[in-house]
Amino acid sequence: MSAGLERHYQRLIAWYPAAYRREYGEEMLGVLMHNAGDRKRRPGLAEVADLIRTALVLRLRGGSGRLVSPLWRDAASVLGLVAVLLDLARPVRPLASLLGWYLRLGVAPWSFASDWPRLAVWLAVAVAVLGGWWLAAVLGGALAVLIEAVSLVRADPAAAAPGWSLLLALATTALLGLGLGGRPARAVLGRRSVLLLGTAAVATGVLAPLVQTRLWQIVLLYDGPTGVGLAPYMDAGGGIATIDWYGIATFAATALLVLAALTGTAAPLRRRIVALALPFLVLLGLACLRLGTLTFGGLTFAPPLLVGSAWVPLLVLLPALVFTLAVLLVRRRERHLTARVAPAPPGLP
Amino acid sequence: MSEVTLREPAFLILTALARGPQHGYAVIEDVRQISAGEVRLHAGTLYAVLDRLRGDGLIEVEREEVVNSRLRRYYRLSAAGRQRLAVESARLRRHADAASQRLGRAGLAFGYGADQ
Repeated sequence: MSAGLERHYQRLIAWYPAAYRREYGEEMLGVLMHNAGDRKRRPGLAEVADLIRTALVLRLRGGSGRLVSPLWRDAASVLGLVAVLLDLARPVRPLASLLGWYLRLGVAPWSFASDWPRLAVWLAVAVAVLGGWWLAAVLGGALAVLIEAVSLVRADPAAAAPGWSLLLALATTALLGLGLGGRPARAVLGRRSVLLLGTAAVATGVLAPLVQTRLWQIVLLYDGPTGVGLAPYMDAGGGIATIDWYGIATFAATALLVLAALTGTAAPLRRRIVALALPFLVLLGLACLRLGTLTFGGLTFAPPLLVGSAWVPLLVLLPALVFTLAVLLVRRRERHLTARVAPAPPGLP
Repeated sequence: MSEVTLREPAFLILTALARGPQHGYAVIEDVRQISAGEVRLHAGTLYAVLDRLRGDGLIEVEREEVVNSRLRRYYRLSAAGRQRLAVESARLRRHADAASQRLGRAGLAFGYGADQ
């Protein structure tokens, strides 16, 4: 047997997490060398690809691995799909809006060029999630995080505060990583629910901005050879509406569709979806507060608590605390239910 | 515990271990035989699946030995693993029977060697 070949395999096994190597490294090396026989000098291409792929999957799964029960993976898979559709709807909205204004005015009022990479990546991630290709989905999510980070730094290098899209991309990638190796969302939810989620994404990403360009009034700022400048506004009986009822209605309709898609799920899965969604919502809420862009009903909230650097640990600690509490509540609830369903037989302790 | 459908490598590994305790390389060979050469497990996939099956309590380590200065671990099915394999086999048989019946009704059924 070749010492060179053994070194090749050892280098490949070094890709695996340390704990995994301790458990299986020596055994794997034995199997690889046994399988190689006496004549092989280098690992085969398929063998290298298999070792690196599984090492990456294990590393991306991180500490979760087999600690994550199938139900938690299913919940992450479902919520991952919802998050990916939300991520996808964000770059689709300006494109649909652009199309709407183009159809109405005959000219495109702005350029979409900067949103194409975002759109392409999230579209690819959505396809990967629906197909159950977890590793591709997680790598796509990581690429989206990179795109968001670069665009954020480019836009304003002084403000390194995570923006909406970056936070959403980070949270989505974390969810996809948690669901890694589990069932795809379509297998967990069924066709009807996936269709409802798809409808929600199309409604908020395509239909809502298209209809908006028909409903809203515009103030034409300029119409010259370099392009068109316009300021759209919602008319409220002769004045500009201070409350974005259309936006609120769109949000409500989307939320209802998502809830309808999740109502058919079994209670244990639903509990886990809620537990996973809570830190996600807290994170987004905190981001809104910190960024001072929580506009709801025309009002902007800027709480005095979240100033200076206090928000940075809060962005990590509060969602983590909420998640821990949610997991404990789920466990407590299920212990309680188990005790009720299967009481100890009489005479037994 | 939810009954997540077993993927093909996991199903074949459990099937290999249903014959008795086996070490990693023997599992690879057995899976190749069971699948008539169609499934050739690589070491990376084998140990990732073994790790998951151990984590789910479907297999366990029977014994360890050192052969040619290398660790060799023998795995066996646990009681939960035997039950799970039985359930999964019954499920696949039901599906296969349904497919055969429908193909038969459509006049498309053919058995082994029917096309020869």
